[in-house]
Amino acid sequence: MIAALLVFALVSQSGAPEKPPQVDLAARVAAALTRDPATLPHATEGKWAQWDAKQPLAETLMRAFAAGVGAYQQGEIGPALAQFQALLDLEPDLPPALYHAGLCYFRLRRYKDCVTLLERFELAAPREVGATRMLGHAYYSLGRYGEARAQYEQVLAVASDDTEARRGLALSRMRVGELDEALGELDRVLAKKPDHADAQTWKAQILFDLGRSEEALAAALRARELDPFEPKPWYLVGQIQLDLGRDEDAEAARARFDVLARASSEIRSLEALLLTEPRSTKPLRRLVELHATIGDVPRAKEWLARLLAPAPKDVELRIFALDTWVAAGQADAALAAALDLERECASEARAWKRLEAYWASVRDRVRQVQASERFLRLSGGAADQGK
Amino acid sequence: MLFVAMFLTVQEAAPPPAPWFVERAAECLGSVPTVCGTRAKDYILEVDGGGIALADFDGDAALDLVVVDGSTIERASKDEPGYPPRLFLNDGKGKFRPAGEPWAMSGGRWGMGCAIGDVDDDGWLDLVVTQWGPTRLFLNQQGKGFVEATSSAGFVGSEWGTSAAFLDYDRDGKLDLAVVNYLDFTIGKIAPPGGGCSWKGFPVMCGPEGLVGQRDRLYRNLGGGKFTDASAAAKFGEEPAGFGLGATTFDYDGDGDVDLFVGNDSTPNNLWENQGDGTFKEVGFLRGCSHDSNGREQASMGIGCADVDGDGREDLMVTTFSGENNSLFLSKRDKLFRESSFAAGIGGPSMPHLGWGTALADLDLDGDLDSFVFNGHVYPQADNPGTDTSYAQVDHLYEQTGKLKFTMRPLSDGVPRVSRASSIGDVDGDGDLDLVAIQLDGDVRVLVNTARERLPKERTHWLAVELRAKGANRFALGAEVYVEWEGGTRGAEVRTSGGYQAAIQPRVHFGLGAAASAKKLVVRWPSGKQQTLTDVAADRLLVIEEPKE
Repeated sequence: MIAALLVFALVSQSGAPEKPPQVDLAARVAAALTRDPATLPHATEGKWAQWDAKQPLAETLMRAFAAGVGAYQQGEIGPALAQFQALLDLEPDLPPALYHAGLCYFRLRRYKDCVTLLERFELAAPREVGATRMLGHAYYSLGRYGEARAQYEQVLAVASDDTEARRGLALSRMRVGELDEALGELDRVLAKKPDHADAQTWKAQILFDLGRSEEALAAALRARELDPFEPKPWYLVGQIQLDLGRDEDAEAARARFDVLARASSEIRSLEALLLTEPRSTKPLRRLVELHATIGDVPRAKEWLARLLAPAPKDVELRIFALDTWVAAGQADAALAAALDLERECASEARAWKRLEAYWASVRDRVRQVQASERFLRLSGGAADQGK
Repeated sequence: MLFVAMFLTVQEAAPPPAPWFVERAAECLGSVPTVCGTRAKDYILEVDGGGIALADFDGDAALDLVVVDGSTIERASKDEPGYPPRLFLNDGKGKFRPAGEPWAMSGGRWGMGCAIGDVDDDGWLDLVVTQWGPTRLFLNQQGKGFVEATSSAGFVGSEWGTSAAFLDYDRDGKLDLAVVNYLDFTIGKIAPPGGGCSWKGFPVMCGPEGLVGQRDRLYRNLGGGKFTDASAAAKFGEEPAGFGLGATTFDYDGDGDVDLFVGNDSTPNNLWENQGDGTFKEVGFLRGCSHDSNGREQASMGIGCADVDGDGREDLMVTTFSGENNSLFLSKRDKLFRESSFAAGIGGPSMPHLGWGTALADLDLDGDLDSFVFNGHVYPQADNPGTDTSYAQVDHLYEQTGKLKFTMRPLSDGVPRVSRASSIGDVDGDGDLDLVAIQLDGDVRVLVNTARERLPKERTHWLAVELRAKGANRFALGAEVYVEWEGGTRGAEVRTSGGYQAAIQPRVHFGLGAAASAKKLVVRWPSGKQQTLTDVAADRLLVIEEPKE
C-alpha cells in the first residue's frame, strides 16, 4: 500500500504521466524483455540505507519514473519495464524503480525475475509491506510456499488487517496441507471483507477437501453469486453436488462451467499477449466479444473502452461494438453503442447503413428512415453510379 | 579466511542422500540416439519424442527394450520413411543387444509411442507402434522375430497417434486397442517459425492451442490379428476432440470391466467409463479428474496409476506443463477422484517443471508407493530469461516419506536433460524396478535402481507376479492381484499401458519391506474366477496359471 501511495505521490507531483517515446519502442521493449534482471547494476553498499519513500525524487528521475508508471497504468507492461530498467541503469537500485520493475515482472508472470528485484528492494526498504506482500505472491506462484508464508507473516506482523496478505497466508498453508489453519485465516479475511469472492471460493474448496460438503456448497454458491463469471465456483458447485449425489444440479453447473472455462482460458491467453503487445487491436476485439458472449457486460465495456480509446471515431470499431452487443443479446448496451455510432461517426456512410439495419431490428421506424436518408445522402455518388 | 569458513561449512553439512538410480546406458545399452526433428523445434511435431517399452518378447522372462524412433520434417516432406523402431534383447542381467534381423522393423512415417499385448492369442507379446500417420502392428513369431501385419490389421485413418493401450473392453477374451490421438498436423498448413505464436513473450512453435484435436479411436479385436474401428459403435472419442497424449487402463469403478483414462494436453482429461454393454461414457468431469482442483484444464502428458493410498482403488498421477502442478488424483468414495497434489507434497515442487514419463511404484521396496517424473521442456526458448523454467530439466523422484506425503529430489545424477517417455521394469533381475527413458535429441537412458544394493536385503523383499489365463487374453490384462504381507496389503491391476507413449510388461510388482513372504495372494482373473495362494515366498517372479475350475 505504501509503495502504491508512493506512485500516486510521484505521478501527482509530475502532472500527467508521460508516455515513453515511440521511437524504437518495439526494439526497446524486446531488449527489456530478453534482459536478465540480474544484469542490472548494483548500487554501492548502503547507498539507499536512508531512503525515505516520502522524499521526492530528483526532477530527472521523477520524470522518467512517472513515464514508466504511466505506461504501467495503461497496461503497457513491456514499455513500462523498459522504462524502469533504463532508470535502474541510470540510478542503480533506485527503490521505487526496483519495486515497479518487479511489479512488471509479476504481471508478465516472470516470478523468478520478480523475486530477484523485490529481494533487492527489500534490502533497501525492508518495511514496505506492499513489496513484502508482492514478494509473497511471487514465491507462492513459484510453488515456494514456505517462503511465501514467511513474507505474508511479516506483513501481518505490522499490518494485521491486511486481507490480501492474510489470504496469501491462508493459501500458502492450504498448499502444504494445513487445511484447518487455512480455513481459519480465510474466515478472518471474510470477517473483514464478506464480499471477497476469491476468499469465499477457497473456503469452499477447503471445506470440500475436509469432507464438509454441505458447508462447502453454501460457500461455493456464495462465491458464485459474488463472481458469476469466474469458472472455478461453478466447477466447485458441480463437484460438490456430485459428492452429495445431486447429479442433475451438477450437470447444470457443469454446462455453465464449460462455457466459462473455455472463455476464461482464451481470456488469459489474450491478456498475456496484451502485456507485451498492448496496442494490438485483434486481441482487444476478441476480449470484448468473449466477455460479451458470457454476459459479463462491465468487463466487456472496459475492454471496449480500451479498444476505442486511441480511435474513438473509428467507424469499423464502432460498428464492431454494435455488432458485438447485438450478437450477445445485450439490448441496452447495443442501444448505447448505436447512439455512440451516430454521434462519433456521423459523417460515415457505413455507419448509417449499419444504423439503418439496427433501428429496423429494434422496430424504431423513425430512426430507421432517418438513417436510410443519411446513408443515401452520404453515399450519393456511389448510389447514383449504382443506378 | 573466507575459503576456510566455506570449507568448514561444507564439511559440516549433511551429505545429500545417495541417488536411487544410476545412469548405466553406456554399460547396458551403448549409444542409442533417437531423432525427433531438428534441435530448433520449429514445429510441434518435433517436440514429443519417441516411445519406449520394456517387455519380454523372446520368452526368457528378461525384459527387452523397444525404442520407437521419429523422423524429420525434411524427410517427411519428401515422403521418405522415418527411422525404424528397434528391439534390444536383454541377457537377463540388464545388458541389451540389438535384436538382429528377425526382429527388424522398417521405418514408418514418424514413430511416436507403442503398446504391447498378445493380439493373436498365441501366447507371445505383440507390438503396436503409433505414429504421426497410420498405426502399425508387429506380430511376434513365437519369440523368434516380428512380422509386420499392419496392412491386414484393419487400422484406419492417418491421425497423429501418441499413446495406445490394450484392453478387453467387450470381455470377449480378445485384446482390443485404444489409440490416443493428438492433433491435426499437416506440413505446410501449420504456421512456420515466427508465425505469430509466442510463449512468455518469445516466438515459439505453434500449438497445440489454435490447432484442431483429433478424436481418439477404439479398435475391436476380431481375432487373428485383425481389428475393426469400433469408435462410433462404442461411443468412444469425443467431439470436439482433446489433444490426447497419455492413456492408462483401469477398472476405476470396480465393476469388473476395464475403463480408460486419457490425459489431454491443454484440454480436459477424459475418463471413459465402460458401460458393460460394449459402449463407453465419458465421465471425467463427473468423477473429478477432468480438471485440476482449480477447475482448470491442464496440459496432461504422462499417467501413473496405482493404489497409492491403499484404499483398494487405484489412483492417478498425471504429469503436466511448467507453471502447472503434477496432479495426484486420489480415488474417493462413490467413484469420485479428488486432486490432492499439494497436501501430498507433489504440487508445489513440480511447478517449474514440464513432466512426461511417470509411474506410481514401490521404488525402494519398503511397502509404500513412490513416483518419478521425467522432465524436459518443449520450447528451447525456455532457456531465455524470465521463463521461470528451462529447456533441459532435472528428472525427479518422489519418495513417499509419510502417509501420502512425498519428498521430491533428483532421480539420478541431477544433470538436466530433455527427457520424454519412460518405461519401468526390473531390467537386471535383482528385484527392484529400473527405468528406461527417451532423451530428446540424445541417447536412450537406462537408469538402474540401486535399492537392493544400497539397502539391507532383509528390508527390501519383493514379489513380482505374472498371470497366464486359460484361453484368450493369455497375459490376463485387467486381472487384479491383491497381496497381504506382514505390515501391509496392496492391490494392483495387470496392464501394459501407462506413462507417456510407453508400455510395460504385463507384470505386477510389490515391495514387501521386511516381509520375506506374502501371507496371502488373491488373483481376480478376467474370467471372474478368484484364486487364493497362501504363504508365498518373496524375492521371485511368480507366474500363476489360471486354474481350470
